Amino acid sequence: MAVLSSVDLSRLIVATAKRDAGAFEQLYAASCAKVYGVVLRILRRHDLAADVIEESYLQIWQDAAQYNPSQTSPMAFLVAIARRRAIDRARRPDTAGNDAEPEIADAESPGVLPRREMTDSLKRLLTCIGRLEPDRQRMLLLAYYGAFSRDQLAVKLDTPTNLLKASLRRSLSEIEQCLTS
Amino acid sequence: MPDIVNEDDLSAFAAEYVIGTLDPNERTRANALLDVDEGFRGLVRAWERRLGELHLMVEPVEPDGRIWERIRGRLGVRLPADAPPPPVVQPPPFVQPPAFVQPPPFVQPAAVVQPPPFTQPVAEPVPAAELRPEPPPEPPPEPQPEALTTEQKLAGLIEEADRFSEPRPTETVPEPAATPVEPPAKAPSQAESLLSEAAEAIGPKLVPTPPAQPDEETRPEAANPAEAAEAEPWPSRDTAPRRDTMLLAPADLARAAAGQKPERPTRWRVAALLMTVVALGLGSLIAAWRFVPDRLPSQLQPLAVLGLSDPGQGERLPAEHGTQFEE
Repeated sequence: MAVLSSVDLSRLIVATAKRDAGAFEQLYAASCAKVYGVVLRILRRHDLAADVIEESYLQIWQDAAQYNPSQTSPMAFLVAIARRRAIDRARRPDTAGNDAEPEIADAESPGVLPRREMTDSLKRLLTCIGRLEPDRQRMLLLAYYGAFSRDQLAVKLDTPTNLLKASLRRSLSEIEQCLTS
Repeated sequence: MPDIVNEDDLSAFAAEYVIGTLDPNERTRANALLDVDEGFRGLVRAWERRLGELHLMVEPVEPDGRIWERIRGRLGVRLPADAPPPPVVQPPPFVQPPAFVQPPPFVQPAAVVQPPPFTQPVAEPVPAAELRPEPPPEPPPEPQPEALTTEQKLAGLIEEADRFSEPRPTETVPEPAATPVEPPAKAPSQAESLLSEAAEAIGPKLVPTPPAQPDEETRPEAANPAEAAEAEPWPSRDTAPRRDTMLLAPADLARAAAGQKPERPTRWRVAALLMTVVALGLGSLIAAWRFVPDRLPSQLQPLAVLGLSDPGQGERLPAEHGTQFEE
């Protein structure tokens, strides 16, 4: 697997938009592990994650033209597409029913990376999240990485759902203000 | 959508859509809105941009190779031949054995003198050979190349990163309030402490993780990395199944990057080699004493070497050397 910089990934997405199948294959090879890690963390079952990856890359093939290098990092673009699909999948009734027995034990879910992997924009984001109260920081990150619904989150954090929703929205709005300030 | 009365609500709705907390019904509505409402699409994209970098903190996991085959099959496009992932297939054939195969020829003359010491050199290769199959399970061709590629991939992905190369503080805090564990309380420290928060957010999942990623991860057991490392100096067999699921911990990456894995087998090989050489040397000497004592230089005569007057003792001593090999 080639070592690809963000610039290279961007170039591959742009080429994919022009129906360059070879570029698309390179793009897949260079990005699938990261995307799969994100999706697997949400779905916690290899079979579901594999389905979502397949659908996601087909969508990436279709939607590559929507990628705007000046607005989004290439990985964020790819991950966003896959995350949407993964969460949709996780909310489907047939998937939600299986929630009790994840194939991937919690303990085996992909973890977090050391801080040397942090980019400036990630740092900025984390700084903003860091201005929230500790409980809300935790809620937000748990929500993002696990993509739990409010109900699931309320159970996990032992908070009434209504309270959680209000708190979540206030937190998100504070982050938005912090990032745009 | 009853709860959306103004732009702010719509933005919050988009944010919750992106972060993933909408319940199934709301999510269905959001998806429908995405199809028809350009404004909502813009809000969602904006939030995906804002939160998107959080993905950097999730470890990559190599998916099943067949997924690409399926994607390719559904593209309806002729693709160039699938480039097989180039796992740096670590050749397990450590061609050391020849060194151990050598002993046999010497076994004969020596066996005449003293069978014991020479059964040892022959036995020596056995533990060594046992070691050999062992490495494959541990740094198997699978995890190692994978560790490299993910590492490389990340390095490429985040070219501008690397601002935080210092070792991570103990991000073991089970409670959010415990963030003060972070050392310096400067501007970046907020981001840093957030990292521990993130780790912790994932923590509930990871806390029970036993030995596989002891030192680098963010769980209580790892509070004392030295202790953890001691308890698990070498990935045990139990970690092997996990590797099969292709889940990599930062600790794995670090270990692979540091090239620690080959170290131990190498040390064993060197030790085994050394023993063999010593045994061969002693064997030759003893054989020479027995068969061609007169052709040895005076300083190699048994009496001179052992400083003994009784040749009988001279023969016993190497035997004691031999017994050491048995250990």
